[in-house]
Amino acid sequence: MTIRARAPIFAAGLALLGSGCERVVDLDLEPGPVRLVIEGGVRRPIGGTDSTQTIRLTTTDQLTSDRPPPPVRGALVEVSDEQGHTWRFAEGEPGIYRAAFWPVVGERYLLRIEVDGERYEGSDVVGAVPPIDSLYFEFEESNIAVGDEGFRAAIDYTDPAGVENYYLWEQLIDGESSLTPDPGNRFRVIGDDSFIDGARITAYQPYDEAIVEPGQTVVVRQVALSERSYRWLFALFEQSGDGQGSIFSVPPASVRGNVANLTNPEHYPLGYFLAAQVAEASATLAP
Amino acid sequence: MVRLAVITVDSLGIRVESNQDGFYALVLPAGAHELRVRAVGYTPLTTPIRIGEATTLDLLLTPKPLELEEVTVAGRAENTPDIDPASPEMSVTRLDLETIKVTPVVLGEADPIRSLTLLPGVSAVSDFSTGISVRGGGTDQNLILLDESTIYNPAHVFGFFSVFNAEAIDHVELYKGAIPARYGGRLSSVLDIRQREGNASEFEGSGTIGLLASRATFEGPLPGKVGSFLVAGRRTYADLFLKLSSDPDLNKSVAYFYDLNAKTNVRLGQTGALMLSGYFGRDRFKIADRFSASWGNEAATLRWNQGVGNRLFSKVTLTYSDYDYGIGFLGSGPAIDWSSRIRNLDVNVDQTFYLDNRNTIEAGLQATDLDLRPASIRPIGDSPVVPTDLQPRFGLATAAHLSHEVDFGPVSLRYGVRLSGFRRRGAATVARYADDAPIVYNATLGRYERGVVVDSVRYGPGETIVSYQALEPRVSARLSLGESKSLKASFSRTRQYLQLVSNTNSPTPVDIWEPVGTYLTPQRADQVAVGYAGTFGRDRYEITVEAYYKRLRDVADFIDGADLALNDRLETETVQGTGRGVGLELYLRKRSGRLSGWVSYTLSRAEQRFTGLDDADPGINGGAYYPAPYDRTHDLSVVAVYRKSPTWTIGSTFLLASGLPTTYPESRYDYGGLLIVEYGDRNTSRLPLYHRLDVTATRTWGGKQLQFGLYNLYNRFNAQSIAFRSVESQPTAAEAVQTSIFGIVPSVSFSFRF
Repeated sequence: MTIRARAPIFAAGLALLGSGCERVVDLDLEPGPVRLVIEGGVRRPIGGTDSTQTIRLTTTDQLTSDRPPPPVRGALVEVSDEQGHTWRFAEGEPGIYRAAFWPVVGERYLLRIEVDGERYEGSDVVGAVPPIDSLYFEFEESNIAVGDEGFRAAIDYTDPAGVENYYLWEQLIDGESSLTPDPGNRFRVIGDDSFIDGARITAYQPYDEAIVEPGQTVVVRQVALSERSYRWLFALFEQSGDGQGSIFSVPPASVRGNVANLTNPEHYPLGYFLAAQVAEASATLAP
Repeated sequence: MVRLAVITVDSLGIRVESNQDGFYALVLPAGAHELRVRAVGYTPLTTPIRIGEATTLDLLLTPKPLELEEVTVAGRAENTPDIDPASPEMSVTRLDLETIKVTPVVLGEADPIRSLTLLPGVSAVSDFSTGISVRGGGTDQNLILLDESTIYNPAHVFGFFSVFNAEAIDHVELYKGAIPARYGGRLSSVLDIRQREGNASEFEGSGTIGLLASRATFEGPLPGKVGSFLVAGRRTYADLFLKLSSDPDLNKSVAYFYDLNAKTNVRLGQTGALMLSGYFGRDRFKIADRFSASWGNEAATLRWNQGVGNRLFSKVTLTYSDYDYGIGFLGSGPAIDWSSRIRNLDVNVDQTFYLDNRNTIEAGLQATDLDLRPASIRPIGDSPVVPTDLQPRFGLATAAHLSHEVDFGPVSLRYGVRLSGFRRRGAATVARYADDAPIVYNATLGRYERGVVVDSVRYGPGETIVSYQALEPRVSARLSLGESKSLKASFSRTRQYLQLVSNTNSPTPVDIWEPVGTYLTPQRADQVAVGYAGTFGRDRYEITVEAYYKRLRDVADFIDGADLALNDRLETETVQGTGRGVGLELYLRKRSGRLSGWVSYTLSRAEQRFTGLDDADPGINGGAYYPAPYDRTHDLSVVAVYRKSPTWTIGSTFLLASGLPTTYPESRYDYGGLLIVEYGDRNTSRLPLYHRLDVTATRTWGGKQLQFGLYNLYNRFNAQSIAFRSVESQPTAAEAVQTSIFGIVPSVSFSFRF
């Protein structure tokens, strides 16, 4: 649940008023430099048994290119903590780098990447997250805000009192991510506790447009964010999907993450190195 | 009363003007003279006068019979033109109700603000919005006054209509530069809107039925003919159609707005008057049981005008203004009610001394008490939301002004100064940051971050947190080049102590205003302008040419990805830079004949620059000047009104303008399965050329009027924006999507008098 910065929902809800009609146009745009894109980081699951850590490296591509994101192969990827441990990530599928270890909540982890003669570094602290108290399904009638009738996954959790908390919710339905390009993600898929500090939140649907069919299994992950990573995702979501079409949208800009290019600062990378504790719950909707 | 009437004594070459309140002073030697009086909308009057000693003379002008068939620009044939070549005033534009009504508008709802965008130096920020940019400035740099009361958010339907009901408006004056010393508080312009006075001699009513809204006005004399009153109302009825819907969500939805305008005048003796006017308007929206919104303005003005002796005109004005909004979120997650309010109380004392026919001195004092409540959050029902209030903002804006207008015949000069001040007051807690930096640049990551709070300072109720003062000189001069032609020049300095907290493409009803304080400093602007004004062909043609140059300092801008809503520490999201603007404006108007109208062309450039917080920070676009959001290189409007017959009038407008600056992406990437586009430097591209033709046809007969309109006649697909998203069939590829607000839009409205 997020209330902060919910003003634009108001605009989004009424985008129907301001969006008018649309048409796909051809533009001849000057392509920019190819940049490294970092996705993933280190995660500490609550009660999980899998210690695999995954970092995905791809690059930017021409705007109208229809190929999948180009993977970055043969990079040196290392994560170290402040106690002197270093973990080398090995490349599996092209661009996917893995290592196995248990990060510790409250510790800072440093990412180091070397590729094409350039060195990149970024760091993040593993934030704490409360557990998901329960995951269940709620039936919604068809309505303007969320679409067709059907079941939605809902969670209960208790926000820890007296500390600032920021959240990201990931949801998989039969293994497939429920995340779709929608500027509204910034009000549901991520959240903070500005006005609900210490409250027990019930029946929260981070993906209130994702319909769950009987027999499907849903996994919801509650991921700890920091103020910085929350704001980074907020800006990213704000510009994704139809986020730029409305008169109530903000002027678009590059969304800069937490990894820097130390060799050539101008050739900055995109994406984010995220360290987080993660709570997970799963449930199957009875057929 | 008749404002801006020109009174001349031809034998002595004396010329004076009545002021905004109809008051004038004339110094004549003893003996017999002949006065000539001319005024907008009145039959010229010539009257003999015999002077023995100081005399108070009421001049009664007969309104020109203004029947509906005269609802054309030509209705002002013998009037003083907009830019009076004999006055030192410049960069001012006047629009009267009749002009506003005859210019075609979308959905047939006459709107004074939309009409202004057809004039040089004024442009709309979007087809959707009534937000205007004056000489390239921001939408919050315009001071909007309704009967001298500040209107903080002039928007209905998220900005689609302005709150000004054309039926209740007498006229609109827009100062784009050379702003008189009595006005202040915004950098770019002053939009002075006056409500209409009621008919002082007989009762009269009128109504309009439109597609979107209906309007009614009723006016007449007060008992004993001591004055007059006017009441006007307007309400939309789109929601009545929602109720007919079979969709349970839609028929539970609400969407309407209304306006109520009222004004009454009472005469106090021969040279005094009391005026009370009010405006109340509100929008309400509710979407099913999920979301509700309501916002509105309340404004009230009490004014006392008094001529004291024969040379002093005194005016005391008390205004109150209130803007509030409330939003309810119900849907998924905790239900909240979010409200916000801005309120001000203003006292204004203005004295005008008519020393003689050549010298006028104006002096005044002004104090405005501001009370802003940026946000108040409350739970709805059993929601776990913790009731929270953002800190209120208190401030006192003050001003003293003095100006002298002197007329040497071929040369006239108006010079003055405004001493403005703003005092930010407690109660408040102000955060203090490490290195006094509320915002810092992280050079490694190339982005701005919030400063680190080290402690905070508590200020008690009424205690001064910070105060700012400035001298704002204002000068304008006129040099006559023979009869009805003149050269003009002006300089004005303006300060702005309040800014709108908005980083969206167009202002929204939920934007709040933030006063200057410990970190945010006043925005400043200097403007010089030179111009030529002249009338030709027995005043049938009017030409003005003006060129201006502006420099702006400490202009506030928000960082990329700024988090503005419900933010108690906006200083962590704001940077202040400089700006500059240059422009050439041409305006040619034909006032009479069967074909009347005008051509307006503006060539301009508005840029801004932010060079960085420190040496490590390259600033925005590498610290270079870049186009301001509302910069338009070319802007052409052609307005033509053709009186085909006594019953039929055809009105049309054509617009041609450069597209607004925009930022296009340079590549795309994938994050979490989402296609994200990567942007380069800000505002380095432009949207496609904008053009549009609108037409109205008006039939008038016996106090009735039927108007048909076609907006965007040839259905031009004008770009509101060009955005980028993933192709549905191929989610890894991006496509450019151009959005347009309106295609061709027909309208019809019917007006009648009773």
